Amino acid sequence: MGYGEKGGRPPFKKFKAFSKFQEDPRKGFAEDDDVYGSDDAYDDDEGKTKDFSKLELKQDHTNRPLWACGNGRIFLETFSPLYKQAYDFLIAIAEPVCRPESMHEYNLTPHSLYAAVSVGLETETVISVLNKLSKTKLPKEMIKFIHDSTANYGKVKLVLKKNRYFVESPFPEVLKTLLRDETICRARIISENVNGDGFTISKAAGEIEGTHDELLNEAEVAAVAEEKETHSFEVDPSQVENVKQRCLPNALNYPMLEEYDFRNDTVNPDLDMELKPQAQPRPYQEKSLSKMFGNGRARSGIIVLPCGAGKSLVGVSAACRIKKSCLCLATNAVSVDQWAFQFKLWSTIREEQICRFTSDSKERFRGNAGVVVTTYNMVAFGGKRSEESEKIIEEIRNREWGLLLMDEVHVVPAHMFRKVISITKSHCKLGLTATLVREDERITDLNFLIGPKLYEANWLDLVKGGFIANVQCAEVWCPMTREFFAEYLKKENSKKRQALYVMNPNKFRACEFLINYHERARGDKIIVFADNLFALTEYAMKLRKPMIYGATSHVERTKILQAFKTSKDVNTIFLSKVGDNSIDIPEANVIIQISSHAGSRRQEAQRLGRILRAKGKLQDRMAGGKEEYNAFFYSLVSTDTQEMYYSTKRQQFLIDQGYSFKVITSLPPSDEGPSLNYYHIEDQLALLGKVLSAGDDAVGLEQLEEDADEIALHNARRSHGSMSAMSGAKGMVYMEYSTGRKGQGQMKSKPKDPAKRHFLFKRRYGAT
Amino acid sequence: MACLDKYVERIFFPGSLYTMVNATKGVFISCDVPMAQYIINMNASLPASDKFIIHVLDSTHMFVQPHVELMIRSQIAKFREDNTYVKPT
Repeated sequence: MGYGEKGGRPPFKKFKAFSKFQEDPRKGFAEDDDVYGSDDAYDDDEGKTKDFSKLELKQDHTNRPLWACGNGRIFLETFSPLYKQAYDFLIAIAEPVCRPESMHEYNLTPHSLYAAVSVGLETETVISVLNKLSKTKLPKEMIKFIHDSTANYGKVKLVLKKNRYFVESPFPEVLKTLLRDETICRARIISENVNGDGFTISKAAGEIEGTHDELLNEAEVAAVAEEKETHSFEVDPSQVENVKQRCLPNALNYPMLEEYDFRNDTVNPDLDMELKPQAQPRPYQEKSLSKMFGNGRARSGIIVLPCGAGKSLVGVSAACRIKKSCLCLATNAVSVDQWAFQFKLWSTIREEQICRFTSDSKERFRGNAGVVVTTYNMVAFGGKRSEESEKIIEEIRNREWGLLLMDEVHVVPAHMFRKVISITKSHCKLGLTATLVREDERITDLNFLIGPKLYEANWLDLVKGGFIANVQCAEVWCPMTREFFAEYLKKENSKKRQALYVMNPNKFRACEFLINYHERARGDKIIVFADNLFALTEYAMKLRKPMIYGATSHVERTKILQAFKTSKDVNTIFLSKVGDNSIDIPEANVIIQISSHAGSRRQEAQRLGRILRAKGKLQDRMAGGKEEYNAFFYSLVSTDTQEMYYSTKRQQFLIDQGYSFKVITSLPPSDEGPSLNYYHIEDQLALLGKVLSAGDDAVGLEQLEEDADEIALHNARRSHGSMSAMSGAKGMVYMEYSTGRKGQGQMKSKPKDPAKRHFLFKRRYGAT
Repeated sequence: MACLDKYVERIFFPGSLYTMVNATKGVFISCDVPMAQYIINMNASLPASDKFIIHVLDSTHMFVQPHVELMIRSQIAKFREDNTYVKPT
């Protein structure tokens, strides 16, 4: 459709329908605008909001890497020579939506712009750079949007002084605006000496200060002097979270700046620790740290790196730069040990300066500065504690922490973890995670609980750089056998559906084939994941492989894992969901997933993370190396069942990261015949009998023991109970997590509302 | 994927109890194994008067009454849609 072809253009109607589906404005369409006008050409609303054919292209658009659209969407061409620079810029100002190989999609949101300004980009810089990179003239809507979203930024600061929180601003009228808000007004603590406005005013060169502020050290006076006059009011520490939430772009739109000037902090004692010389942060680790320490101060925020890309080194480096007491929170006792180990491995911290605080090891905190590693649960626990841990907790509570380091931060939004943030007082918070998704969409809460997202790595770029393994993802379609599908359809078996599609003999045979192939032909180490305990035992027994699930004792686990790591005879292990994130198995490079927890995108990504740690020589892994793929991720799915729905949903996160799933339909190959189990119909029927005779509890999801350390696992479960019940706000109810039955209930309540359908489908169904 | 890939109207002779030929008009369905089971299950869930399968020929073919064709199609479409995830926009 160039302009030379105008004469032979297809008829108006046809052309119109076609252009509606265009995601990107293309050259030819932009040229045709004057012909069509704008009034009647696009009558469909949904089509209209996504049609940008009217955007004006710049003369030298071929040299520019991105398309900016009026609805806040930005498309980046990754094959452009400017890709690297454009990517660094975009990731700072916009939220990545989907990042396949050659075209990335980003979305400008108030939160992402908030993050942009908080890493030091100014409104005008954002607009001018965006304009420079864009092929089209920046739409007016977008410029206005950026102005609106960033105008108020930096006017309000949240400061922690002497264990008390103050909201500061050089503009008293801004504070008044804030105080007009009910939530903030209630959170305010009125101190005794106030001026007419009711604000504590600190003036340059130490004029009158509030009684508490008299002890201001030189550094703080200097900071105050810079701003000439600062008005502030104190807020209740327990309300800080709510105040921050009210100030976010979607409410009052005065996002708070939280920076920690650690170099000039002389109140809190320094901690003598440096990175060891052999700790060489990789380029992307450096980049994420530079976002955090951009202007010499430490900013609170979240850094997103895929599993296996070295999150702990980022955490340790951050602690080493701040050099103050650091509280490190992990999800379970195993990772507490791992973190403590990482600190010792990468930094020069002395043995006695680091202590672990878990239910098993309660090491007392010595000295006036140090690193404490503990779990979210230990801090947030509301019940009665032992005298010993009570003392430690008291100490944690009363201390002013330089850095609060939070691992696996996607589990934090639950109320239970919010408590952690309100209990501990820290100058700076750093959240680390691989998967910033939650099924309950509470992920945005992190914006005010911790801070904006500072950096997010692009998975595919890390793969290309050889930093993480190049994984071939495949979805294996296993047709249901006649007998199994007949039972699956029966109403009375609705509770056994999951067991039926997991135990589908065709799936078993595909699994067996894959295990044989990878063990024998490639000598790989394989992990098989099954959430369904019944299936796990059946598969493992039949194939004579070791398995680990919730009830497996610690000794046995260690033994099995040790054998898996060292022995040549043990190449496959079966894991229930205990293996999702807490077990570290760097040897494995193949994952076969036979059953999963409904539609949890995070579980899928975490499981993939088990094999992401790069193995082998770097040059082999690079593009054009000996092995293109060195890790394999198979998801076995029974076709025509609910599993198809969940499977597609689970893959969404990885697809958005740019992974593609290959669909394999003919496994096992037909010539395998009787060499695999369940070839004969009698065997299949025997298996079916077994599934049907098993009790409903036995075929449901695995129930893990009440283990205070395994919140992360509980969190992966979906239920339609209230969020407060899940998060511990209802006290003990937290541990009564849902079982398989609830999951079944969930299956029925899929969104069937025609209004929620994609507009393409709506059209399809609307017509019939 | 399962589907009603073709249907042909044919005359079917259900045995010859009588010397008279008894002809029934119907729809011949050819589909894959799971979908055949789905249709059988659908048939089984209906009251006796509404049953529509005239004869199950083998695991992938059957002969049904002509008026249910649209109903079967829409039921299968719905069933398959239930198992398909559409990314929310």
